[in-house]
Amino acid sequence: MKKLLAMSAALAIAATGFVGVSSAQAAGTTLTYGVIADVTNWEASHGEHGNRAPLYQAAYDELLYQQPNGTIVPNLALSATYNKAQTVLTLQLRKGVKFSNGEAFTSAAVVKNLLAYKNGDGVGASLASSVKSVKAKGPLTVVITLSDVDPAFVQNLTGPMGMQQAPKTIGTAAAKSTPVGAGPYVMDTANSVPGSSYVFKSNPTYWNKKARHYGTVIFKVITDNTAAVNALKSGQVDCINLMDFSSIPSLTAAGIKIETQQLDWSGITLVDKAGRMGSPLKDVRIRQAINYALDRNALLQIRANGNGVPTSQVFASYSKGYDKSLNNYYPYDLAKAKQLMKDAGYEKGFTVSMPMVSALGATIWTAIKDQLGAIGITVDYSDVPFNNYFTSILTPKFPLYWMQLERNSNDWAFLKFLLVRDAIWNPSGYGTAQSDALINTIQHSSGAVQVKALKALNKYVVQQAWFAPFFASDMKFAHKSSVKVKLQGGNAVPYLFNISPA
Amino acid sequence: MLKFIARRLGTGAVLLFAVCTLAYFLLYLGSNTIARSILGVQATKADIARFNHMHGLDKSFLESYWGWFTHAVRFDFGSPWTFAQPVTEIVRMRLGTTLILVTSSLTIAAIVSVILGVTAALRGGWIDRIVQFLGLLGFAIPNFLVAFALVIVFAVQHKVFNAVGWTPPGTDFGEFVKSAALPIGALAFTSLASITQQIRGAVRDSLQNDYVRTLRTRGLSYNRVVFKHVLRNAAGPALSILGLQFVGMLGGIVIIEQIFAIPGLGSFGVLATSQKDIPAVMGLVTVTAIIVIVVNLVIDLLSAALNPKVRLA
Amino acid sequence: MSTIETPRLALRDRNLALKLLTNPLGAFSTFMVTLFTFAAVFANQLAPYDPTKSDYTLMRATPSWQHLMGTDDLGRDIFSRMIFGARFTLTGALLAVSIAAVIGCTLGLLAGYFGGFLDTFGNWFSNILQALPGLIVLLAAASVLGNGLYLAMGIFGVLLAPAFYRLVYVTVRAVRNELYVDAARVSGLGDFKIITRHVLGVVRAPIIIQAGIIASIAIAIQAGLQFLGFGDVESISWGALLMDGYSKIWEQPIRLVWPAVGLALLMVSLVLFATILRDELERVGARVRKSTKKSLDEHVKERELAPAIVHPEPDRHGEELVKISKLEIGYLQVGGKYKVVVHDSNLSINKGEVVGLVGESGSGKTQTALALLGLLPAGGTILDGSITFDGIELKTLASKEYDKLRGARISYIPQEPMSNLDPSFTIGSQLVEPMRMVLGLGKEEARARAIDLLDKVGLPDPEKTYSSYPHEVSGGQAQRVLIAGALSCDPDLIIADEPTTALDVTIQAEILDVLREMQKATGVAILLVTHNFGVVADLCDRVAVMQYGRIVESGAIIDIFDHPQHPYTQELLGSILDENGPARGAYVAPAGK
Repeated sequence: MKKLLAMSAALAIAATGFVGVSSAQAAGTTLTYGVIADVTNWEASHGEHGNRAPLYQAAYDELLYQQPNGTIVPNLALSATYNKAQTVLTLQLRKGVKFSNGEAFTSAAVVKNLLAYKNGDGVGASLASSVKSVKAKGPLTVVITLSDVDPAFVQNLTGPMGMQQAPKTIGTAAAKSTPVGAGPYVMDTANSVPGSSYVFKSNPTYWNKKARHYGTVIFKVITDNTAAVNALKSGQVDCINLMDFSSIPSLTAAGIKIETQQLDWSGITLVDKAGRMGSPLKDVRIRQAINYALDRNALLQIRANGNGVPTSQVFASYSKGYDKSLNNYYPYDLAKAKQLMKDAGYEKGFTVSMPMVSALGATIWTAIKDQLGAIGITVDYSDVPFNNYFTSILTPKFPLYWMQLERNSNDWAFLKFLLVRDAIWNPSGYGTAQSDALINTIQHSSGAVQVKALKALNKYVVQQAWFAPFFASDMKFAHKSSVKVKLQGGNAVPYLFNISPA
Repeated sequence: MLKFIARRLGTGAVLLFAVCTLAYFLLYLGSNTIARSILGVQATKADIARFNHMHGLDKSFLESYWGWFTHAVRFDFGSPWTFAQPVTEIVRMRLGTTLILVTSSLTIAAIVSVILGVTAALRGGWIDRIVQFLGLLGFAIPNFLVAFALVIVFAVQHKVFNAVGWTPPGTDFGEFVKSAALPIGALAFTSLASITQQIRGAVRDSLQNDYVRTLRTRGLSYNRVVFKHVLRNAAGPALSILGLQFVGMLGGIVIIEQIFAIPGLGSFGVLATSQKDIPAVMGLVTVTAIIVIVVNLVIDLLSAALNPKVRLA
Repeated sequence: MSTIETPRLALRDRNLALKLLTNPLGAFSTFMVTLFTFAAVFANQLAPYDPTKSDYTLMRATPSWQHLMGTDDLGRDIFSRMIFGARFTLTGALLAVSIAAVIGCTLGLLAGYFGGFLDTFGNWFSNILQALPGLIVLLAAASVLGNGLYLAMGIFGVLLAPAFYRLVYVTVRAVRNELYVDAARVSGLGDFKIITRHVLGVVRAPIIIQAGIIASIAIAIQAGLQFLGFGDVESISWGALLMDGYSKIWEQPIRLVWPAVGLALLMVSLVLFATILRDELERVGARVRKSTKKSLDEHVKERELAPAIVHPEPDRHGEELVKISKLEIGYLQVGGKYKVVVHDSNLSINKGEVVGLVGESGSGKTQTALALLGLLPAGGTILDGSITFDGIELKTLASKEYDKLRGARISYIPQEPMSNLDPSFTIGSQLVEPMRMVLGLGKEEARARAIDLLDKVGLPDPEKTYSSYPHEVSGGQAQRVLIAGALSCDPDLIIADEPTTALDVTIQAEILDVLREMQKATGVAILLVTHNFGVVADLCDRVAVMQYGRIVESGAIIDIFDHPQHPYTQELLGSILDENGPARGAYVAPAGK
């Protein structure tokens, strides 16, 4: 309800939260945005958050907009209101918006877009799985019926799920390579080189001109980190996400600025909590012993050169369930770890198998093996080809695995991703009566009640040592001093509108 | 002559079929993990099943291959799973890019190495030794290091050329030169080594022939015998060398494209293969096989033109 | 390849190792390869630290005495990793090359030798492998079978087999058609023995160089795969170290230097090693240092004590054209010494004379002839004595001046007709070119003259021959062409080097007729080099006999035939079958067989 209140208060104001420059000022300026991943399908139904987000944002506007601090404000939809049961969402649409091909933005467009998203094979299609039906009620009203309460739904409308593509172009072959939307820019196909650089020129009929900071945006696709560093140093890009941090001293020496946030967590998931694979991980003391045996500072150094924050919790700092005091719940204490092992009856230690893949990072495997070995746990690595790593983890084939996973900026989405019983990344489908209850509360509540439940779940998961996290990993975005950047909590790179001339 | 070409194209077609079948088979073997790696960590089991079904991965090998094959013979290579453009268009665009790079580099390398190789073979002595040494140097230094050195000097320290990116010559010729100079430099330098060595060898072999001396006995000067006869006879082997180098460069360019973020066939190959994007990979395999067959045919035709002994049987 | 042997000591006679080591590049590359192999084999003993042991307190350390090359991200000693890396890199390369060589060479050998089905199969196999994009095969295999270094190198070896296949196939094919293979077959040698004894020896050299090059490529590919993220990172190879260094290039550039230098040295050494081995084995590439007076004084001489026998020739007439006195020819050997092939030889030729120079193979007659032409093979020099031609001293003649003599005044008929015609040009153009250069004739004039010459040497269809390529005419016809060529610019002296040896007996007679007629018609002097006294008797006015590099007897032909004085001359004459002697009796089988 909190979010909705913010929106109704802002109903009257057309461009809340957008502090831009006048179109005249922006006209001659160009932003060269370096991206580390190429777009594989330009249709809005295949839109993505993360590294590819700004590309889609150039062409498509979303129904709602999320600001860097997490607040959700109106965009193409002026309001989004739930019914009491929270299963029917009604959207009121902005009037007079046109797509760049001349089509009008109406409820019919929204319906077509949402269905295309849900029924397509884009990576995020399952985010719309809770949609039971979507209907147009009049030209500017849309009614969405959900099959179950979905706390993530409204926030998802600020992402690709809410992106609006010109209806006539949906599903056409051309749209796969050339986006047509109602967004701030239009792709200049003549000057674009697919796979290398995409040039976007200002959309003359864009409704929110004030939000646009640049006349032209060029996206340069650079997948090799050294090439990215070279591009920054030679001035060919204004900003880019860094994949390797070892070049940072050299970059800062050259005057490049770095913005940091902790997006991913890196650590071990203890899969066999129920003991169905027959490993000793069934015993919570063993799991806690593992947590005490980890020298998180060293691991941080090894894996990420110190770029991150050691932690014992998996919730992100931008999550409402975050509890700072839980960061050091398990200090590095070999004696305590050994004691726990002894208490559990495994003084002599045991052997456990774990999947390993070279492409995800060379040196981390040795460190894990060493540290667990120090308390008597012998890690028997199974070398798995990169493409089979996920399959083997998720089958599940191993009682524990190491992974670096992102944490969704939406808490419910995060839970569905990692913690609920049928979460993809909870391969053993583990849960207890306590965790079930807490999750249920989170799903059906909001506001302070929801926050309390989230924090409780966090603490429970930490105390029960569902995981053995190493650290929250830094994400670093590099940019020239001539641009100003505001990071988007929970997204790998800043949203397009949050980069402006310094 | 026409019969020869027809025959070669015929065997080439069979070869192409064999290569495509083999490649498809290898890809199909590992196809159970494709959905997960393309859809990413977020995908549910349902997502994966849908992906597999949509792309025919739940069919048998023969069914699946037949589906691809029947479209391919009509030049319809379908849509890739991880790229935005249709296969034929991507291949066309990227092939053009790669060909521009390869032919430019090869031309430069060929010119320089012919000069160096011939000089070294004819003069011998210290020039020969220096050329061989430089040749070895180019051979031993990995091309990405050469590329990197070039970038440091010409793009970072002195912003003369581009460190990354690609502009086609048609779009803006000035920008094209800026984006192509360094990759071509790196490619040419490394292949220079190998070509020079081999041309030197070919010229030396040609020099050993008896008729070289016999022509001298007729009163022809050394220079004349060398430039008219020796080099002429070395041209055939030299051409084969260049042909091989061309095909080899298609492989070596992969790393260069990675370093300079150039959207060519090489980087396409790496991306497509690592993601096991079957339509894309098959498009690549087809095009590469065709290139090899065509280049070999052209080389054979040129060799026959140069060497009367070679009969186009 | 040259049909004239330059006297180099046979491979068997000298230690190959010695040869390699005295060449500075050879020494360097051998040393490097040995060093790396040594490191690879004895890695366990040589490495100061366990290459996989991490020391978290000393991560990314700069080089010091404790860690000669510093440490990496996990605090592991880089020097130790380099040493173990040598093992993986070398064994990986070895694996790739071995598999490629075994598959390629075996298939090439069989296909080239037996032909037929194996030939077709081998060809297809090779073509498919070459047309397959290697990267895709490697990646597809990796996804199914894992990322192991050895697996990748093994597969890569299969992919590289065509390189060996083609090489071996072509070589074996060529050898198979050689006469000595047929001879071996006829004498009952089994196929296997033929292959191993005769064919393998020829194929040996090309395989060696190819192996060196392929090994280098395999190493480069491994590093490349690592770069693209497809390598096996668990194993410690130089490729892996290289990529680790490259990705950290902005932070610790030195980490890149070690594996880069190591790889560079290894690849260079491998290729050098293979190339120099090839050069030595094929006896090509004598790097001759310009002879100095000092080395001339040091050369080794073989002296015969008895002076040459010169028969008096009171009936000899004519002006002196060529005078060879005390001629000494030598070839520079490694170490500065000269192998002397001709010494203390005197000969004179008058205008219009036909002089025979007789001797066994290796007696130095061809060397003498080439010295006259000023076209000794690489490494040969006139060490002593003098050769004058019409008063001009040839030993010290400038090359431009010598060019003027050749063709116009001295010309040459070689022994082996086919290899002495440029296969890429028509016979006509090869005849016309010198005439236009030397005589300054116009195109039509030269053509007319050439056809006339071809007719004069007895070719049945001169116009057809004129426009034919060398491979389109027979050996006999080619020899006539060469005679025509030698005559084309009206020389004063023709040096005919065994002009009939390579021809059938019936053709031999015809060629001799041509020579005789031409000589009578033009009055040209001929120096006829031959081992055949019959030819000498047919054509020559005078004859000189050579043995062991020295002219031991010379005189008018009838005189020599009737009264040979030197024991060697007598021996030679004695071994000619006597037409009037008794017939050989019936063959009597030895007892017991």
